[in-house]
Amino acid sequence: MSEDDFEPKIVAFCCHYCAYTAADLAGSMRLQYPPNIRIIRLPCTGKVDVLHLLRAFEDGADGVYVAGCMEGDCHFINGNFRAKKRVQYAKKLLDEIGFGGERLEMFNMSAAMGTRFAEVAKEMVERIKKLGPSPIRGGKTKKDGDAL
Amino acid sequence: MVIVATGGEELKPDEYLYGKNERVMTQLEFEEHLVEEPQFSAAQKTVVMIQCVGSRNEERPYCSRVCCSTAVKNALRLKAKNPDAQVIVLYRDIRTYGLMEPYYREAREKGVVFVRYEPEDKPKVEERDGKLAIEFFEPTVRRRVTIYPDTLVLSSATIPRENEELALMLKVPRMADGFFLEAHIKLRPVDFATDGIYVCGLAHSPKNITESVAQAAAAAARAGTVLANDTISVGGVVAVVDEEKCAACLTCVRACPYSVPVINERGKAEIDPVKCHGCGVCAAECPGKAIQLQYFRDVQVLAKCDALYGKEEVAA
Ligand SMILES: Cc1cc2nc3c(=O)[nH]c(=O)nc-3n(C[C@H](O)[C@H](O)[C@H](O)COP(=O)(O)OP(=O)(O)OC[C@H]3O[C@@H](n4cnc5c(N)ncnc54)[C@H](O)[C@@H]3O)c2cc1C
Ligand code: SF4
Ligand code: SF4
Ligand code: SF4
Ligand code: FES
Repeated sequence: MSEDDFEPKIVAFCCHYCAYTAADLAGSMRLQYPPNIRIIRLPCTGKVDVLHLLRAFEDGADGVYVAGCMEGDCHFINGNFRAKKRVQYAKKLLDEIGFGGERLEMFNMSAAMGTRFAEVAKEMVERIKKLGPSPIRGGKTKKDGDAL
Repeated sequence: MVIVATGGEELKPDEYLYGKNERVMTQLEFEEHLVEEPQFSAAQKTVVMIQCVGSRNEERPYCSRVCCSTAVKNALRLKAKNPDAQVIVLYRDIRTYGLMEPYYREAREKGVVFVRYEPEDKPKVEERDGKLAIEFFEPTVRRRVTIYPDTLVLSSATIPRENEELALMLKVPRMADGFFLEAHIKLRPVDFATDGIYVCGLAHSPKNITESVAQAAAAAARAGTVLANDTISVGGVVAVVDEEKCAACLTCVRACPYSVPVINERGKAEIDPVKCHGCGVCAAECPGKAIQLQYFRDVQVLAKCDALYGKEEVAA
Protein backbone atom coordinates (compact mmCIF):
# COMPACT_ATOMS: atom_id res chain seq x y z
CA MET A 1 0.00 0.00 0.00
CA SER A 2 1.48 3.39 -0.85
CA GLU A 3 1.58 6.32 1.53
CA ASP A 4 -1.14 8.07 -0.47
CA ASP A 5 -3.95 5.56 -0.33
CA PHE A 6 -3.28 4.31 3.18
CA GLU A 7 -5.91 5.88 5.45
CA PRO A 8 -4.75 5.41 9.04
CA LYS A 9 -7.15 4.54 11.82
CA ILE A 10 -6.43 6.68 14.83
CA VAL A 11 -7.98 6.71 18.29
CA ALA A 12 -7.76 9.87 20.40
CA PHE A 13 -8.42 9.61 24.11
CA CYS A 14 -9.57 13.12 24.97
CA CYS A 15 -10.02 14.79 28.32
CA HIS A 16 -13.51 16.21 28.76
CA TYR A 17 -12.23 19.57 30.03
CA CYS A 18 -9.81 20.43 27.25
CA ALA A 19 -9.25 18.38 24.11
CA TYR A 20 -12.88 17.25 23.90
CA THR A 21 -14.08 20.86 24.17
CA ALA A 22 -11.32 21.97 21.78
CA ALA A 23 -12.71 19.46 19.26
CA ASP A 24 -16.11 21.13 19.64
CA LEU A 25 -14.50 24.52 19.13
CA ALA A 26 -12.65 23.28 16.04
CA GLY A 27 -16.07 22.31 14.72
CA SER A 28 -17.65 25.67 15.55
CA MET A 29 -14.69 27.38 13.89
CA ARG A 30 -15.32 25.20 10.84
CA LEU A 31 -11.73 24.00 10.81
CA GLN A 32 -10.89 21.06 8.60
CA TYR A 33 -9.04 18.09 10.00
CA PRO A 34 -8.61 14.57 8.65
CA PRO A 35 -11.56 12.25 9.30
CA ASN A 36 -9.20 9.49 10.48
CA ILE A 37 -9.56 10.49 14.11
CA ARG A 38 -12.02 8.71 16.41
CA ILE A 39 -12.51 10.24 19.83
CA ILE A 40 -13.07 8.47 23.13
CA ARG A 41 -13.98 10.86 25.92
CA LEU A 42 -12.49 10.51 29.39
CA PRO A 43 -13.25 12.63 32.47
CA CYS A 44 -9.51 13.40 32.69
CA THR A 45 -6.50 11.84 31.02
CA GLY A 46 -5.63 10.59 34.53
CA LYS A 47 -8.24 7.91 33.84
CA VAL A 48 -6.45 6.52 30.81
CA ASP A 49 -5.09 3.06 31.40
CA VAL A 50 -2.24 1.33 29.56
CA LEU A 51 -4.82 -1.39 29.05
CA HIS A 52 -7.05 0.99 27.04
CA LEU A 53 -4.17 2.19 24.89
CA LEU A 54 -3.04 -1.32 24.05
CA ARG A 55 -6.58 -2.51 23.38
CA ALA A 56 -7.03 0.26 20.80
CA PHE A 57 -3.94 -1.04 18.99
CA GLU A 58 -5.09 -4.63 19.39
CA ASP A 59 -8.39 -3.66 17.79
CA GLY A 60 -6.52 -2.43 14.74
CA ALA A 61 -5.77 1.25 15.32
CA ASP A 62 -2.65 2.37 13.45
CA GLY A 63 -2.05 5.21 15.87
CA VAL A 64 -3.32 6.29 19.27
CA TYR A 65 -2.95 9.52 21.16
CA VAL A 66 -3.98 10.96 24.47
CA ALA A 67 -4.91 14.65 24.62
CA GLY A 68 -5.07 16.31 28.01
CA CYS A 69 -5.01 19.73 29.59
CA MET A 70 -1.94 21.95 29.51
CA GLU A 71 0.58 20.99 32.16
CA GLY A 72 -0.45 22.69 35.39
CA ASP A 73 -4.01 23.17 34.11
CA CYS A 74 -5.43 19.70 34.78
CA HIS A 75 -8.85 20.13 36.30
CA PHE A 76 -7.96 17.39 38.77
CA ILE A 77 -4.56 18.87 39.66
CA ASN A 78 -2.14 16.35 38.12
CA GLY A 79 -4.01 13.67 36.18
CA ASN A 80 -2.25 14.69 32.97
CA PHE A 81 1.19 14.03 34.51
CA ARG A 82 0.10 10.54 35.46
CA ALA A 83 -1.19 10.05 31.92
CA LYS A 84 2.15 11.23 30.54
CA LYS A 85 3.98 8.60 32.59
CA ARG A 86 1.60 5.85 31.47
CA VAL A 87 1.94 6.88 27.82
CA GLN A 88 5.70 6.79 28.17
CA TYR A 89 5.51 3.35 29.73
CA ALA A 90 3.23 2.07 26.97
CA LYS A 91 5.55 3.55 24.33
CA LYS A 92 8.39 1.50 25.82
CA LEU A 93 6.28 -1.66 25.67
CA LEU A 94 5.42 -0.97 22.04
CA ASP A 95 9.09 -0.43 21.23
CA GLU A 96 10.07 -3.65 22.93
CA ILE A 97 7.65 -5.76 20.90
CA GLY A 98 8.74 -4.08 17.68
CA PHE A 99 5.44 -2.25 17.23
CA GLY A 100 7.02 1.19 17.37
CA GLY A 101 6.43 3.52 20.32
CA GLU A 102 6.01 6.47 17.96
CA ARG A 103 2.55 5.18 17.05
CA LEU A 104 1.47 6.45 20.47
CA GLU A 105 1.72 10.05 21.68
CA MET A 106 0.57 12.40 24.41
CA PHE A 107 -0.49 15.97 23.61
CA ASN A 108 -1.53 18.89 25.78
CA MET A 109 -3.95 21.63 24.80
CA SER A 110 -6.53 23.91 26.36
CA ALA A 111 -10.24 24.08 25.57
CA ALA A 112 -9.56 27.32 23.71
CA MET A 113 -7.19 25.63 21.26
CA GLY A 114 -9.52 24.56 18.48
CA THR A 115 -6.78 25.27 15.97
CA ARG A 116 -4.27 23.19 17.92
CA PHE A 117 -6.74 20.30 18.06
CA ALA A 118 -6.96 20.28 14.27
CA GLU A 119 -3.16 20.64 13.98
CA VAL A 120 -2.54 17.68 16.28
CA ALA A 121 -4.97 15.55 14.28
CA LYS A 122 -3.14 16.45 11.07
CA GLU A 123 0.27 15.90 12.66
CA MET A 124 -0.71 12.46 13.90
CA VAL A 125 -2.25 11.39 10.58
CA GLU A 126 0.89 12.47 8.72
CA ARG A 127 3.12 10.63 11.17
CA ILE A 128 1.12 7.39 10.92
CA LYS A 129 0.93 7.67 7.14
CA LYS A 130 4.74 7.64 7.08
CA LEU A 131 4.85 4.65 9.45
CA GLY A 132 2.33 2.71 7.39
CA PRO A 133 -0.33 0.31 8.67
CA SER A 134 0.04 -1.21 12.11
CA PRO A 135 1.75 -4.61 12.30
CA ILE A 136 -1.58 -6.01 13.42
CA ARG A 137 -3.07 -4.95 10.10
CA GLY A 138 -0.21 -6.51 8.16
CA GLY A 139 2.26 -3.63 8.41
CA LYS A 140 5.94 -4.03 9.06
CA THR A 141 7.32 -4.36 12.55
CA LYS A 142 10.28 -2.28 13.57
CA LYS A 143 12.56 -5.32 13.61
CA ASP A 144 11.88 -5.89 9.92
CA GLY A 145 14.06 -2.86 9.42
CA ASP A 146 12.81 0.16 7.51
CA ALA A 147 9.54 1.12 9.21
CA LEU A 148 10.60 4.79 9.17
CA MET B 1 -21.19 28.88 42.76
CA VAL B 2 -19.10 31.48 40.92
CA ILE B 3 -20.11 33.93 38.20
CA VAL B 4 -17.08 35.40 36.50
CA ALA B 5 -17.89 38.98 35.52
CA THR B 6 -14.53 40.69 35.76
CA GLY B 7 -15.27 42.87 32.75
CA GLY B 8 -12.90 44.68 30.49
CA GLU B 9 -11.38 48.06 29.83
CA GLU B 10 -10.21 50.39 27.16
CA LEU B 11 -6.74 49.74 25.76
CA LYS B 12 -4.26 52.58 26.32
CA PRO B 13 -2.95 52.95 22.78
CA ASP B 14 0.74 53.08 21.95
CA GLU B 15 0.39 54.75 18.58
CA TYR B 16 -0.91 57.95 16.93
CA LEU B 17 1.00 60.11 19.48
CA TYR B 18 -1.21 58.97 22.35
CA GLY B 19 0.38 60.00 25.63
CA LYS B 20 2.77 62.32 23.76
CA ASN B 21 0.35 65.02 22.62
CA GLU B 22 -2.45 66.15 24.89
CA ARG B 23 -4.84 66.70 21.97
CA VAL B 24 -4.82 62.94 21.39
CA MET B 25 -7.24 60.99 23.61
CA THR B 26 -9.38 57.87 23.72
CA GLN B 27 -13.18 57.80 23.30
CA LEU B 28 -13.71 57.47 27.06
CA GLU B 29 -11.46 60.45 27.77
CA PHE B 30 -13.20 62.48 25.04
CA GLU B 31 -16.59 61.61 26.50
CA GLU B 32 -15.40 62.79 29.91
CA HIS B 33 -14.31 66.16 28.45
CA LEU B 34 -17.68 66.53 26.68
CA VAL B 35 -19.61 65.88 29.87
CA GLU B 36 -17.42 67.48 32.52
CA GLU B 37 -16.10 70.63 30.80
CA PRO B 38 -18.77 73.08 29.66
CA GLN B 39 -16.27 75.08 27.51
CA PHE B 40 -14.80 72.05 25.76
CA SER B 41 -17.45 71.47 23.10
CA ALA B 42 -17.64 75.10 21.99
CA ALA B 43 -13.86 75.21 21.50
CA GLN B 44 -13.89 72.25 19.10
CA LYS B 45 -13.83 73.40 15.49
CA THR B 46 -12.53 70.16 14.04
CA VAL B 47 -12.38 66.70 15.60
CA VAL B 48 -10.92 63.62 13.92
CA MET B 49 -11.71 60.12 15.15
CA ILE B 50 -9.72 57.02 14.16
CA GLN B 51 -11.51 53.65 14.40
CA CYS B 52 -10.13 50.16 15.05
CA VAL B 53 -7.14 51.40 17.07
CA GLY B 54 -5.58 48.21 18.42
CA SER B 55 -8.44 46.00 17.16
CA ARG B 56 -8.65 43.81 14.09
CA ASN B 57 -4.89 43.60 13.74
CA GLU B 58 -2.46 40.74 14.18
CA GLU B 59 -2.16 41.15 17.91
CA ARG B 60 -5.92 41.44 18.47
CA PRO B 61 -7.81 39.95 15.51
CA TYR B 62 -11.20 40.55 17.09
CA CYS B 63 -13.60 43.47 16.57
CA SER B 64 -14.15 45.41 19.79
CA ARG B 65 -17.79 45.91 18.83
CA VAL B 66 -18.52 48.99 20.96
CA CYS B 67 -16.17 51.54 19.39
CA CYS B 68 -18.13 52.27 16.20
CA SER B 69 -21.29 53.08 18.11
CA THR B 70 -19.32 54.92 20.80
CA ALA B 71 -17.74 57.10 18.08
CA VAL B 72 -21.15 57.82 16.52
CA LYS B 73 -22.63 58.52 19.95
CA ASN B 74 -19.87 60.97 20.89
CA ALA B 75 -19.96 62.64 17.47
CA LEU B 76 -23.70 63.25 17.90
CA ARG B 77 -23.15 64.49 21.43
CA LEU B 78 -20.61 67.04 20.25
CA LYS B 79 -22.87 68.07 17.36
CA ALA B 80 -25.74 68.60 19.80
CA LYS B 81 -23.65 71.03 21.87
CA ASN B 82 -21.80 72.62 18.99
CA PRO B 83 -23.53 72.08 15.61
CA ASP B 84 -20.73 73.90 13.78
CA ALA B 85 -18.06 71.46 14.90
CA GLN B 86 -16.65 69.46 12.02
CA VAL B 87 -16.30 65.74 12.82
CA ILE B 88 -14.36 63.38 10.56
CA VAL B 89 -14.39 59.66 11.33
CA LEU B 90 -11.62 57.56 9.73
CA TYR B 91 -12.92 54.00 9.66
CA ARG B 92 -12.33 50.54 8.19
CA ASP B 93 -15.92 49.27 8.42
CA ILE B 94 -18.75 50.91 10.31
CA ARG B 95 -20.24 48.32 12.63
CA THR B 96 -23.15 50.09 14.26
CA TYR B 97 -24.95 46.80 14.18
CA GLY B 98 -28.57 45.99 15.05
CA LEU B 99 -30.68 48.83 16.38
CA MET B 100 -27.74 51.26 16.43
CA GLU B 101 -27.85 51.77 12.67
CA PRO B 102 -30.28 54.78 12.89
CA TYR B 103 -27.65 56.66 14.94
CA TYR B 104 -25.18 56.18 12.12
CA ARG B 105 -27.72 57.56 9.65
CA GLU B 106 -28.46 60.48 11.97
CA ALA B 107 -24.76 61.27 12.23
CA ARG B 108 -24.44 61.37 8.44
CA GLU B 109 -27.51 63.59 8.21
CA LYS B 110 -26.00 65.97 10.74
CA GLY B 111 -22.88 66.30 8.61
CA VAL B 112 -20.41 63.93 10.27
CA VAL B 113 -17.97 62.88 7.56
CA PHE B 114 -16.97 59.21 7.32
CA VAL B 115 -13.79 58.37 5.38
CA ARG B 116 -12.62 54.85 4.84
CA TYR B 117 -8.98 53.84 5.27
CA GLU B 118 -7.23 50.58 4.44
CA PRO B 119 -5.31 48.71 7.16
CA GLU B 120 -2.18 48.79 4.97
CA ASP B 121 -2.41 52.59 4.72
CA LYS B 122 -3.31 53.80 8.19
CA PRO B 123 -3.63 57.55 8.85
CA LYS B 124 -0.36 59.32 9.71
CA VAL B 125 -0.35 61.46 12.80
CA GLU B 126 2.44 63.93 13.54
CA GLU B 127 3.14 67.31 15.09
CA ARG B 128 3.77 70.11 12.60
CA ASP B 129 4.67 73.58 13.92
CA GLY B 130 2.96 72.91 17.22
CA LYS B 131 -0.17 71.67 15.49
CA LEU B 132 -1.50 68.17 15.24
CA ALA B 133 -1.51 66.97 11.63
CA ILE B 134 -3.49 63.94 10.40
CA GLU B 135 -2.68 62.78 6.89
CA PHE B 136 -4.77 60.17 5.11
CA PHE B 137 -5.89 59.02 1.68
CA GLU B 138 -9.38 60.24 0.74
CA PRO B 139 -10.76 57.60 -1.66
CA THR B 140 -13.53 59.73 -3.27
CA VAL B 141 -11.19 62.52 -4.38
CA ARG B 142 -8.30 60.02 -4.67
CA ARG B 143 -5.90 62.30 -2.92
CA ARG B 144 -3.88 62.47 0.27
CA VAL B 145 -5.42 65.04 2.59
CA THR B 146 -4.02 66.66 5.73
CA ILE B 147 -6.25 67.96 8.50
CA TYR B 148 -5.24 69.97 11.57
CA PRO B 149 -7.85 69.10 14.22
CA ASP B 150 -8.31 70.48 17.72
CA THR B 151 -8.70 66.96 19.04
CA LEU B 152 -7.85 63.48 17.77
CA VAL B 153 -10.02 60.77 19.33
CA LEU B 154 -8.85 57.15 19.18
CA SER B 155 -11.48 54.40 19.21
CA SER B 156 -9.27 52.09 21.17
CA ALA B 157 -9.73 48.34 21.57
CA THR B 158 -11.68 46.73 24.39
CA ILE B 159 -9.41 44.39 26.31
CA PRO B 160 -10.18 42.00 29.19
CA ARG B 161 -9.26 43.19 32.66
CA GLU B 162 -6.24 41.45 34.26
CA ASN B 163 -7.61 37.96 34.96
CA GLU B 164 -4.76 35.48 34.72
CA GLU B 165 -4.57 34.76 38.43
CA LEU B 166 -8.32 34.20 38.59
CA ALA B 167 -8.25 31.90 35.56
CA LEU B 168 -5.52 29.79 37.14
CA MET B 169 -7.33 29.69 40.46
CA LEU B 170 -10.67 28.56 38.99
CA LYS B 171 -8.96 26.50 36.28
CA VAL B 172 -11.19 27.95 33.59
CA PRO B 173 -9.96 28.48 30.05
CA ARG B 174 -9.28 31.76 28.26
CA MET B 175 -8.78 32.51 24.59
CA ALA B 176 -5.34 33.70 23.44
CA ASP B 177 -6.57 37.31 23.77
CA GLY B 178 -7.46 36.83 27.44
CA PHE B 179 -11.27 36.65 27.22
CA PHE B 180 -12.84 33.72 29.06
CA LEU B 181 -14.09 30.83 26.96
CA GLU B 182 -17.51 29.27 27.52
CA ALA B 183 -18.08 25.49 27.49
CA HIS B 184 -19.81 25.58 24.11
CA ILE B 185 -20.52 28.59 21.91
CA LYS B 186 -24.02 27.43 21.03
CA LEU B 187 -25.09 24.79 23.52
CA ARG B 188 -23.67 26.18 26.80
CA PRO B 189 -22.99 29.86 26.16
CA VAL B 190 -22.67 31.07 29.79
CA ASP B 191 -21.32 27.90 31.42
CA PHE B 192 -17.76 26.82 31.89
CA ALA B 193 -17.03 23.12 31.44
CA THR B 194 -16.54 23.10 35.23
CA ASP B 195 -19.82 22.74 37.11
CA GLY B 196 -21.01 25.74 39.10
CA ILE B 197 -18.89 28.37 37.34
CA TYR B 198 -20.50 30.76 34.86
CA VAL B 199 -19.34 33.70 32.79
CA CYS B 200 -20.93 36.89 31.46
CA GLY B 201 -20.27 40.40 30.24
CA LEU B 202 -17.08 41.93 28.97
CA ALA B 203 -15.03 39.23 30.71
CA HIS B 204 -16.32 36.89 28.00
CA SER B 205 -16.03 39.07 24.90
CA PRO B 206 -16.56 42.67 23.77
CA LYS B 207 -20.21 43.64 23.84
CA ASN B 208 -22.45 46.61 24.66
CA ILE B 209 -24.34 47.11 27.89
CA THR B 210 -27.64 45.63 26.66
CA GLU B 211 -25.85 42.47 25.59
CA SER B 212 -23.90 42.33 28.85
CA VAL B 213 -27.12 42.61 30.85
CA ALA B 214 -28.81 39.89 28.79
CA GLN B 215 -25.86 37.58 29.31
CA ALA B 216 -25.73 38.40 33.03
CA ALA B 217 -29.41 37.46 33.32
CA ALA B 218 -28.65 34.18 31.58
CA ALA B 219 -25.74 33.40 33.91
CA ALA B 220 -27.86 34.25 36.96
CA ALA B 221 -30.63 32.00 35.68
CA ARG B 222 -28.18 29.15 35.16
CA ALA B 223 -26.84 29.58 38.68
CA GLY B 224 -30.45 29.75 39.90
CA THR B 225 -31.21 26.31 38.51
CA VAL B 226 -28.72 24.94 41.03
CA LEU B 227 -29.40 27.30 43.96
CA ALA B 228 -33.18 26.79 43.78
CA ASN B 229 -32.80 23.16 44.85
CA ASP B 230 -32.87 22.09 48.50
CA THR B 231 -30.66 19.15 47.72
CA ILE B 232 -28.23 18.59 44.92
CA SER B 233 -27.71 15.21 43.41
CA VAL B 234 -24.05 14.81 42.60
CA GLY B 235 -23.11 13.36 39.26
CA GLY B 236 -23.02 9.61 38.96
CA VAL B 237 -19.41 9.70 37.79
CA VAL B 238 -17.79 8.45 40.99
CA ALA B 239 -15.32 5.73 41.84
CA VAL B 240 -16.56 2.48 43.38
CA VAL B 241 -14.37 -0.06 45.20
CA ASP B 242 -14.81 -3.78 44.84
CA GLU B 243 -13.83 -4.86 48.36
CA GLU B 244 -13.30 -8.45 47.22
CA LYS B 245 -10.39 -7.34 45.05
CA CYS B 246 -8.92 -4.68 47.34
CA ALA B 247 -5.61 -5.62 48.98
CA ALA B 248 -5.43 -2.40 51.01
CA CYS B 249 -2.21 -1.41 49.28
CA LEU B 250 -2.89 2.32 49.81
CA THR B 251 -2.11 3.22 46.18
CA CYS B 252 -5.48 4.94 45.78
CA VAL B 253 -5.17 6.66 49.13
CA ARG B 254 -1.90 8.23 47.96
CA ALA B 255 -2.94 8.86 44.35
CA CYS B 256 -6.25 10.65 44.84
CA PRO B 257 -5.71 14.39 44.35
CA TYR B 258 -8.47 15.09 46.89
CA SER B 259 -7.58 12.49 49.54
CA VAL B 260 -10.97 10.82 49.23
CA PRO B 261 -10.17 7.10 49.63
CA VAL B 262 -9.67 5.83 53.18
CA ILE B 263 -9.16 2.36 54.57
CA ASN B 264 -12.32 1.38 56.47
CA GLU B 265 -12.84 -0.82 59.51
CA ARG B 266 -12.96 -3.89 57.27
CA GLY B 267 -9.44 -3.08 56.10
CA LYS B 268 -10.61 -2.17 52.60
CA ALA B 269 -10.47 1.05 50.60
CA GLU B 270 -13.65 3.11 50.82
CA ILE B 271 -14.60 6.06 48.61
CA ASP B 272 -17.28 8.53 49.72
CA PRO B 273 -19.31 9.21 46.56
CA VAL B 274 -20.18 12.74 47.72
CA LYS B 275 -16.53 13.71 48.10
CA CYS B 276 -15.29 11.97 44.97
CA HIS B 277 -14.64 14.35 42.05
CA GLY B 278 -14.77 11.56 39.50
CA CYS B 279 -11.37 11.99 37.88
CA GLY B 280 -10.64 8.28 37.66
CA VAL B 281 -7.02 8.50 38.75
CA CYS B 282 -7.49 5.88 41.49
CA ALA B 283 -9.18 3.51 39.05
CA ALA B 284 -6.26 3.73 36.66
CA GLU B 285 -3.63 3.42 39.39
CA CYS B 286 -5.11 0.56 41.45
CA PRO B 287 -2.83 -2.41 40.82
CA GLY B 288 -5.60 -4.88 41.65
CA LYS B 289 -8.19 -3.27 39.32
CA ALA B 290 -10.39 -3.06 42.40
CA ILE B 291 -11.75 0.38 41.50
CA GLN B 292 -14.09 1.26 38.67
CA LEU B 293 -15.19 4.77 37.73
CA GLN B 294 -18.92 4.72 37.03
CA TYR B 295 -19.79 5.58 33.40
CA PHE B 296 -16.13 5.10 32.49
CA ARG B 297 -15.71 1.52 33.72
CA ASP B 298 -12.93 -0.35 31.97
CA VAL B 299 -15.42 -2.57 30.16
CA GLN B 300 -17.13 0.55 28.86
CA VAL B 301 -13.95 2.20 27.59
CA LEU B 302 -12.73 -1.07 26.09
CA ALA B 303 -16.11 -1.62 24.44
CA LYS B 304 -15.71 1.80 22.81
CA CYS B 305 -12.28 0.79 21.50
CA ASP B 306 -13.75 -2.44 20.14
CA ALA B 307 -16.71 -0.66 18.61
CA LEU B 308 -14.48 1.80 16.75
CA TYR B 309 -12.15 -0.56 14.96
CA GLY B 310 -12.45 -3.97 16.54
CA LYS B 311 -13.94 -7.09 15.15
CA GLU B 312 -17.71 -7.18 15.16
CA GLU B 313 -17.96 -10.08 17.57
CA VAL B 314 -15.79 -8.28 20.11
CA ALA B 315 -17.93 -5.15 19.88
CA ALA B 316 -21.17 -7.01 20.38
C1 LIG C 1 -14.37 52.24 25.70
C2 LIG C 1 -15.67 51.57 25.89
C3 LIG C 1 -16.83 52.23 25.52
C4 LIG C 1 -18.06 51.62 25.67
N1 LIG C 1 -19.15 52.28 25.27
C5 LIG C 1 -20.36 51.70 25.37
C6 LIG C 1 -21.53 52.38 24.97
O1 LIG C 1 -21.45 53.53 24.54
N2 LIG C 1 -22.71 51.73 25.06
C7 LIG C 1 -22.80 50.46 25.55
O2 LIG C 1 -23.91 49.93 25.61
N3 LIG C 1 -21.72 49.80 25.97
C8 LIG C 1 -20.49 50.40 25.90
N4 LIG C 1 -19.39 49.70 26.31
C9 LIG C 1 -19.54 48.35 26.81
C10 LIG C 1 -19.96 48.30 28.26
O3 LIG C 1 -19.08 49.13 29.00
C11 LIG C 1 -19.87 46.86 28.74
O4 LIG C 1 -20.70 46.03 28.01
C12 LIG C 1 -20.26 46.68 30.21
O5 LIG C 1 -19.65 47.64 31.03
C13 LIG C 1 -19.83 45.30 30.66
O6 LIG C 1 -20.19 45.07 31.99
P1 LIG C 1 -19.44 44.02 32.89
O7 LIG C 1 -20.16 44.01 34.17
O8 LIG C 1 -19.28 42.76 32.14
O9 LIG C 1 -17.95 44.57 33.07
P2 LIG C 1 -17.40 45.89 33.80
O10 LIG C 1 -18.35 47.00 33.61
O11 LIG C 1 -16.02 46.05 33.29
O12 LIG C 1 -17.38 45.51 35.35
C14 LIG C 1 -16.51 44.52 35.89
C15 LIG C 1 -16.31 44.81 37.36
O13 LIG C 1 -15.60 43.74 37.97
C16 LIG C 1 -14.60 44.27 38.82
N5 LIG C 1 -13.56 43.25 38.95
C17 LIG C 1 -12.63 42.87 38.03
N6 LIG C 1 -11.86 41.88 38.50
C18 LIG C 1 -12.31 41.61 39.74
C19 LIG C 1 -11.92 40.67 40.74
N7 LIG C 1 -10.91 39.79 40.55
N8 LIG C 1 -12.60 40.66 41.92
C20 LIG C 1 -13.64 41.53 42.12
N9 LIG C 1 -14.04 42.43 41.21
C21 LIG C 1 -13.39 42.48 40.04
C22 LIG C 1 -14.15 45.51 38.11
O14 LIG C 1 -13.53 46.39 39.00
C23 LIG C 1 -15.47 46.07 37.59
O15 LIG C 1 -16.12 46.87 38.54
C24 LIG C 1 -18.15 50.31 26.19
C25 LIG C 1 -16.98 49.65 26.58
C26 LIG C 1 -15.76 50.26 26.43
C27 LIG C 1 -14.52 49.53 26.85
S1 SF4 D 1 -16.50 48.29 16.58
FE1 SF4 D 1 -15.81 49.45 14.81
S2 SF4 D 1 -14.00 50.56 15.53
FE2 SF4 D 1 -14.39 48.96 16.98
S3 SF4 D 1 -13.08 47.29 16.31
FE3 SF4 D 1 -15.11 46.93 15.43
S4 SF4 D 1 -15.03 47.88 13.42
FE4 SF4 D 1 -13.28 48.67 14.58
S1 SF4 E 1 -5.33 0.92 45.15
FE1 SF4 E 1 -6.82 -0.75 44.85
S2 SF4 E 1 -6.02 -2.45 46.00
FE2 SF4 E 1 -4.92 -0.63 46.71
S3 SF4 E 1 -6.09 0.07 48.48
FE3 SF4 E 1 -6.90 1.15 46.73
S4 SF4 E 1 -8.61 -0.11 46.02
FE4 SF4 E 1 -7.39 -1.38 47.39
S1 SF4 F 1 -12.07 9.21 41.18
FE1 SF4 F 1 -10.53 10.79 41.61
S2 SF4 F 1 -11.48 12.03 43.22
FE2 SF4 F 1 -12.62 10.10 43.17
S3 SF4 F 1 -11.61 8.85 44.70
FE3 SF4 F 1 -10.67 8.36 42.72
S4 SF4 F 1 -8.87 9.67 42.61
FE4 SF4 F 1 -10.17 10.50 44.23
S1 FES G 1 -8.71 17.38 33.53
FE1 FES G 1 -7.88 17.46 31.51
S2 FES G 1 -6.15 16.19 31.76
FE2 FES G 1 -6.96 16.20 33.77
